[in-house]
Parts: sequence; C-alpha cells; structure tokens
Amino acid sequence: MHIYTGLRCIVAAASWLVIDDVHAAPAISTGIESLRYRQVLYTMYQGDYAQAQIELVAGKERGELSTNAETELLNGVLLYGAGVPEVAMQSLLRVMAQQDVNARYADLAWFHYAKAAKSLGDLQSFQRGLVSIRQSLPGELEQERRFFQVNQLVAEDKFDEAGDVIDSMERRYAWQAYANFNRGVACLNKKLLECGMRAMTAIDELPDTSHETGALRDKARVVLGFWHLQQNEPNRALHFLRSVSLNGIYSSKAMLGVGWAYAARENYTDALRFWSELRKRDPLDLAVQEGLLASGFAYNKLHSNPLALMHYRQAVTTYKELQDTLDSGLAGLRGGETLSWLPVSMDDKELSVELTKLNENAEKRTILRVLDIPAVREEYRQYRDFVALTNALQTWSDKYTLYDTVLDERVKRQRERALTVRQRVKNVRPEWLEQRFNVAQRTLITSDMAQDGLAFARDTEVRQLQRLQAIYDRLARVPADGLPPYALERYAVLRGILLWNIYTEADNRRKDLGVQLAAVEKELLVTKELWRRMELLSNVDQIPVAKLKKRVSQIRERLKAAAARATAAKLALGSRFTRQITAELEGERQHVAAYLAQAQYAVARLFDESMASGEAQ
Amino acid sequence: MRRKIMLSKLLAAWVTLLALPLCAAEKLDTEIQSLKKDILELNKDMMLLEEELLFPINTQVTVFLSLDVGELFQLESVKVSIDDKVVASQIYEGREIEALRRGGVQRVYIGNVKPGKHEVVAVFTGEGPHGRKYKRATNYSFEKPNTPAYIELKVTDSGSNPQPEFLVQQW
Repeated sequence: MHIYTGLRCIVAAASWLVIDDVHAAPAISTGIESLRYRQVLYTMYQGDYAQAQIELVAGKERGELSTNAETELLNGVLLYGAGVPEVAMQSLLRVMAQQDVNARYADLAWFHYAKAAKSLGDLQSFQRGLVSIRQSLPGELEQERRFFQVNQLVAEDKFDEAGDVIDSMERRYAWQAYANFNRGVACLNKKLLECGMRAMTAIDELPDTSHETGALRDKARVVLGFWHLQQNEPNRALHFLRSVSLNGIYSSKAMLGVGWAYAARENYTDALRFWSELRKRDPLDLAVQEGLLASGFAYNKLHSNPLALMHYRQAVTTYKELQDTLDSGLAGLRGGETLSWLPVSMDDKELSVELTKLNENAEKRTILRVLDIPAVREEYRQYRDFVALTNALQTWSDKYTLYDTVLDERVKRQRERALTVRQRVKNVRPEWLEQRFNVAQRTLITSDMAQDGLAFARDTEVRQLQRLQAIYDRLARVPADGLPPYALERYAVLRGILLWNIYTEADNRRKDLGVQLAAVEKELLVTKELWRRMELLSNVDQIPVAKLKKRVSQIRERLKAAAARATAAKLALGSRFTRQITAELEGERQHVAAYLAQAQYAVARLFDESMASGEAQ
Repeated sequence: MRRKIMLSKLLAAWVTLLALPLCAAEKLDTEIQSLKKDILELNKDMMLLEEELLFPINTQVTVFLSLDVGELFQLESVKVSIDDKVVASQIYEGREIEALRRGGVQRVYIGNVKPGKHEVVAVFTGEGPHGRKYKRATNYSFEKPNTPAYIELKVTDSGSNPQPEFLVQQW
C-alpha cells in the first residue's frame, strides 16, 4: 500500500529534471523570442513553475512568444508543476491536436499528460498517455516512463514482464531501484519468494551513491529482514537488518528487528543489547514503543522476573505519558490551536529551521512526526500554499488601491511638463521660423538659378543701387550740354564700385546664408518637436487613463473575489489537514493503548507469578 | 416487503453518508484547482497591466543576463548602471547559477529611459581562470527607440584564449 504514496514525492522532485531534459536546448533561437523563452526557463529551473507559466503566457500576449508545439508543451509542464494538472492536461492535448506535430513533442506531451492524469488519480487517462508514446523518451524521462510501466505490470500481477522491463532500465538512475522495490514488495506480499528476493537483493546491492538510494537500500533491507523473521529464518534476517545504516531513518526499525532475530535464536542477552539501545530513543517512534515491551519480554525469558517487571512498569509509565502527550496533541487539533503555531513558510530552508525548533516540545513533536507521512506532508504543503496565497492576495489588493494614485500622479506630472514646454516655446512659433527658412531658401535657389550675385546684396546696398538708378534716371532726362562735368562718369564709377563690392562679397554671403539656413532649419526642427510634445502632453487622453483605471478596478474586483475564495479554501484545507493529522494521531494512540494493555497485563501476570513464588517486593 | 424497503432506504442513507466526505473532498480539490487556475490568469493580467502602467513601451528598457558555457568564469555578482546610475545589482548563488548554466536568461532590470542615446555599464565579479578573483566592466552605448529596448549582457568563454568574454547586445 505504501508503495505508491512513498513515491509521490520522488516523482514530484524529479519533475524538474524531466523539464530540464526536454528544454535544455530550445528550438527557438532568435532575438526577443529566444530571450523571453529562456527567461521562462530561468524561472522554471529555480522551481517557480507558477511564475514561469505566467511569464510564458504574458510573453504570448505581448506577441513576443509564438504559440507552437514547443511553447504549448512547456505550458503544459508548467501548469502541472504549478499544481493545476487538469488544465495542464488540456494544454498538452492541444500539442497533440496540432497538425504535423513533431513526434518527439507528441511523445513528451503524452508523457506529461500521463503524469498529470496520475496526480489526479485518473488512471484511464494515465494509461492512455503511456500507451500513446511511440518512441523512447530523452534521457531520464525514459527511465521514469519504464518505472510507470513496471508499476502497471506489477498491479496486473505480471511480475516476469515487470522484471524484463526493470532489466532494460539504466542502473545509474534511481528509477530502476524504485521499480525493483515496488516489484519486490508486491512479490513478497503474493508469497512469490524468489521474485521478491531477486528484486530486493538488487536494491541491497546498490552502491551508496546518494542519500536517496541509501535510504531506499535501508528500506529494502528492513523489508527483507522482517520477511525472513516471518519465515523463521533469523540468521538471514540478521544479515539484512545489521546492514541497515545506524544513522538512517530505518535504524530503529532495524534495531528492533535485530533484537527479534536474536530472540528467535533464543539469544535474549544480545537481543536486549539492541532493545536497550532502542529504549534511549524517542518513544514516539513505533519501533521504540515495541522495544519497550520487548525488553520486558527478554528479561522474562531470561528468568529475571524482577527486571522484567521493572521494564514492563517503565513501559506502562512511558505509554501513559505518551497517551497524555498524544491527548494534548489531539486536544490542540480539536481546539484549532495547532494551526496557529504550525509554521507556514513556503521556503524549504526556513521551514526546516522553524520545524526543528518545535522538536523541543513533546506535544508539538507528536504533530511533527505525523508531518513525515507523505500524504500528510502533501496536505501540509497545500495548506501552506494557500496561507501564502491568501496573504499575497491581500498584499496585491493593497497594491492595487495605489495604482489609481499612480495614474492620477502620472496625469498631473504630464500636465506640469506640458506647462514647462509651453513656457519654453511661447515666443517661438514654428510658422515664423518656417517663414524665415523659406525666404532664405528662396534667395539661395533664386541666386543659384540666376547665377547672379546681386541676390546677396544687403538692403543698404540695394537701396544705394536704387538711389544710383534714380540719379541716373534724372541725369538721363537732362540735356547733354546741361550735365555737370563728369556726372555720368562719376555715376558709372560709383555703380561700378558698388557692384564690385556686391559681387566680390557674394560668395561669402552665400556661404553665410547657407549657415544661417541650416541654423534656422535646426531651430525649426527643435521648435516643431517642442510644439509636438506640448500638444501631446496637453492631450491627457494620450494616456488611456480611463481605460487603465477600468482595468485596475476590474483586477481589484477579481482580487477581492479570489481572496474570498482563497480564504474559504484555506479554512477548508486547514480543517481537512487537521482531520488528517487527528486521524493519524488517533491511530498512534490506539497503538499505544494496545501496547499499554499488553504491558499492564504482563505486569499483572508477573506480579501474580512473583507473589506466588514470594519474589514480589 | 415493507421491511425490505426500509432496509434498502437505510442502506441508501448509509451509502449517502459514507459518500459525503468523499464528495466534499472532491469538491474542495476541484475548487482548489479552479482557484489556482484563476489566480494564474489573474497574475498574468496583473503582470501585463503593471508593465503598461510602470514601464510604458516608449520608455521601457530591459536588461537580460545570460551565460554561454561559463567554464572560465564563475559569476558571483553583477552591477548594472544606466547613464551612471546603478539600476540593478545581484549576487548569484547555486540555484541561480545553475539556471543560467542550463540556458536560462535572467531579467536583471526593467525600467524607463527617454528615447535617445544612453550608456549601460555592467560590472561583473567572480572567479576567473585558475581560481583568480576577477572583476570586469563592460560598457555599451545604445539608442533607445520609441519601442521597448532589450539589452542582453552575455558572459561567454572566449574561443581564442582561455579568458571569459563579456559582451553586450541590443535586440
């Protein structure tokens, strides 16, 4: 029964590896699209699937990421990681629905579809996903697929076929070991000794490469040890149980088993060595609880009834204390106090530190122990998730009340800027500059076309020329004998000097005009830009304030609704989580009650025997 | 006959009672799924609206950081300045470095600058070849158009010599 539950966390932990293999080399490799896609990957690689999914969809809405098989596949994987497997399945189905979808993408989509279905307990879709995979999956994914295949075969009692699949798996991945373990346990449960032994021995021979494989190997050794104990083969049991790591989580169970193995060989002295060691450990551990009874039993077998009585009495005291502790724990749960002190951090490191602190209190320790059960741990994670979510929704709501102010402030600032610009341009209008520019340009063009330097004559020179012309006109009307001496010659000399000056300066003046023209043009451009900005800034409607405010208000409403729903869900989850822990603690209390009854019976029996033999004190 | 009907009614009542917690649990799970989905959607809309509000497209500038291979340089921190003003600084730890090494790109900064010419300066610190402490700065002048500007800071291993390279590219 614990086969699948025990694996849930491992499957979840491995999901990021899965994604890594799929997307290590994205097919999208150009510009902004590549940047945005890899930005999503960066977030995902850090385990924030929800944020990565948001970035992916936002990228699509901005038009920076395309909708294709690759992004749709990634979206499905992210949705699954973000805890919405149902939506993930829909997204993955869209990958398969695409025309001419790449076979590799289709296989990957089916695989993730199967995983999402499995997390929902939808076995039909899980199987549909697995059988739809056509080719080998890349890297470790293939090993995970085969692991699922083994579980499926084991569930159908097809142990030989399961063995063949296991043999085809790569040893360097932990999947093969987990598959072996599942097969081994199932075979042993069906009394298929050879099959069970083969599978478990394979795990027993695993090299101690990681904490994970080490723990699995210990677990397999404990299973094998207790199996041999059941078969009354204490020597073989000892072989496996004594190989269990002393610092591992299965060490107490192994020590208990070692004691029973010695007891089966009627070597109670050695059995007591292990059980005495066990008595020093946390009595909340089921193995330790059993060890308390076992010590009394061993002394009894060694005919040391006073010591046996003493141990049974100590066991009774310990069990009663345990019952009290469990009762306080249960009372805290029923009174709703537990949820108030249970840490809710979503940061693993921080949570671990906070939980360790609780270890100092026996009552709180009872709850902590239950949190080690995978199903409870999953519910705890979900509860913490919702506590964090309700807090986040509250923060976001507060933030969104500020956005109206942000928008108002932006409009105000825009108006102020418009005023400043208006001040700068109030004495310069672009049409005036344009007029100046046009006159100068016309002059240049006219002179260039006429090849006439006169066009560059200054106003005084033009007036002087006009005066000379008027003099000449008057001179022309005077009879020749009435003209003053040298009048025409003087006129000609003056006109000549004036024209000489004009023509010799023409080139320079042309150049100057060109420079002026460029300056006016520049000034014109600047002024035009300032006017454009002023008009733009004056037009507050350029910022779609009303539209944005409407969106802000809509989001605020959605946030409010989501916060209400999240609070309700948090309360419901808290209550479900509490019920789950309560059920576990009640189970433990029943265990303790059963041990207590046995210890009390043993005390009574030994007391009677002692009384009968006159040993009682 | 009456007893039989009574019995079947009782049985039906029991079945209903037994199924109740299961239905409630299923309903809660469905609600959680639906709520999570809505919140993802809401988050996305918030993200887009916030970008529009805080970083209008005509002034928006985004700086990204990527690692290409990165064998010759163990990135420890980066400090980004735009027009002599420090806009972002980041210290890298295991998970972030791993994400960069695996091809992820980090958005180091998003902010606003006026359209026109600007300069971005990035100062990288870390461990270079042979475990030596390494500090390198790279600058890049860019023209901010009226559309969003994307600047990518790239740390790459030089092909020609065993030294890291720090490149900047505008997209």
